[in-house]
Amino acid sequence: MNKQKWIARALEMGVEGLEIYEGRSAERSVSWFDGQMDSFVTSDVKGTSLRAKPSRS
Amino acid sequence: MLNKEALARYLSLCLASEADFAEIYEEEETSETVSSLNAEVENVSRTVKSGAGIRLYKGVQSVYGYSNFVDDEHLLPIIADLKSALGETEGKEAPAVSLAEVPFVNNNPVRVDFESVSLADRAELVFRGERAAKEYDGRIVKTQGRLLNVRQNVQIANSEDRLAKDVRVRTRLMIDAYAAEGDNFQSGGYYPGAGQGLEYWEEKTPESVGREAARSAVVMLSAMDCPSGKMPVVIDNEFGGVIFHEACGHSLEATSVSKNQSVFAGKLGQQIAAPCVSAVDDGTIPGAWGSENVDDEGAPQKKRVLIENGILKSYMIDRLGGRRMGMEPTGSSRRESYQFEPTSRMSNTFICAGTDSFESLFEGVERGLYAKKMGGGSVNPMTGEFNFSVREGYLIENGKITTPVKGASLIGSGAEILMNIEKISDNLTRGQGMCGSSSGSIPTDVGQPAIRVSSITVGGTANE
Repeated sequence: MNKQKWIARALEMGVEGLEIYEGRSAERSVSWFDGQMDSFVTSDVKGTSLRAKPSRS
Repeated sequence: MLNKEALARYLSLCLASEADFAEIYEEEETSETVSSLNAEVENVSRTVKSGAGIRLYKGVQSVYGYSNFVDDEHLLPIIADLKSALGETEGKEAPAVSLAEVPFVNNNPVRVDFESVSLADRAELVFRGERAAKEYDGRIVKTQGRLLNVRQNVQIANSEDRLAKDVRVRTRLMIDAYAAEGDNFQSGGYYPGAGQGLEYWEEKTPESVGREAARSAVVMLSAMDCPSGKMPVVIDNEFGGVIFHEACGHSLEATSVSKNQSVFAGKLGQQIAAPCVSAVDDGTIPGAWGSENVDDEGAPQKKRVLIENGILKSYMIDRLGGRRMGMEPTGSSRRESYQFEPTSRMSNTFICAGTDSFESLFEGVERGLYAKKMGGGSVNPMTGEFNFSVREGYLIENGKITTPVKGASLIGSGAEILMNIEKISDNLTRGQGMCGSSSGSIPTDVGQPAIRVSSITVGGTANE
């Protein structure tokens, strides 16, 4: 993601400030019940959030 | 969204393993919350979420993987990981999967999609509720409002050649009002919602939501401390059903029953409630908050009779729970999103209407509690023992509703309450909530008519 481009575009649109948060997580979890594997979960997720401060005008 | 051929290809790859069943759940969701304080926008939060979850079964073992990258580069390693978790298989060929779309009747049509209305007009719905709350009484000093709108597109494909699609649209308005008189400060809230578009607010006006929140806050200004002890309790309709949901409903889900972690395990066909009690979980109610056309395993939603005249008739069973219990699934599988493996959950769960009038519930009660609005609480899911606060309560004295009381809580167990229900009125209504469990937070309706329980332990703050 070209963050500079996003921020420039937001400022062009009249936003006073923009924050970009980007995260990626890969996880694997296993749980056991009564001596057997009860659940196995594997994941790969990326998320992006934008927080904008609108202009006062 | 993935096309039919891509879904079939992934499912086929999944089955070249020890797995005897494979499923792909894919979703795209757009949601928005407009939050305001004293009828001015504080925050607008908008979320666009998409991704896919893949599940494999081997007998009663289930493995699950998910990603929001829905392409070969990311899904193939997840499939490989899942297959490996079930045990390696050498040289098993990928069987062909040929998907056929499952037809369904759309029980939840939408007339006004939230994105077809301007943000200013959506915010105005919140302001209307807040203004009505403020105008209700001069003692209302602060209001808060939130409008939630969600549209979720899902498709669920499985190795039994089934492909189901659904669109779930929901809207909810939450108004909180704060009343003050001297240093006495009380709050009231009302949070209705529906599985509909913004047309719902033509029927349930924001003004009615705001006034109800304000009424509850104002009435509590004159509340005295609640006495404690065992006494008859009348629990009102709508959100009063939260006790049944938490203390009984969760114990009827296959998740707890299949592991023998429920007080109702092994009790099918037995009397678990007073003969006047019937209860259902119905995911087919048109436009209801907890309704959907298909469950999150792609099975058509159903009306499930849980209790009939006091006899336990059915549990709520998902596919894995069904395998573990040796029973058929009941279309009860739900999940918050692709990031959660589905499990057995409630939809719209309520005690059915009785024949007694509301007024008759108070007849003959010398001293008791009328719990008009329930608050939050906690439940031990193994035993059904609960503790719930009463948000708006009144004393019952000599058959009449008298003084408002604050600080009341109800303490008991679901199984005990069910057996002690002695009167059920005819005024069934449902209230909306978000239910949290292992497959995430999902919208559910709770509900009941007003009921009278012969004896509940009431916790209070009064010194007697």
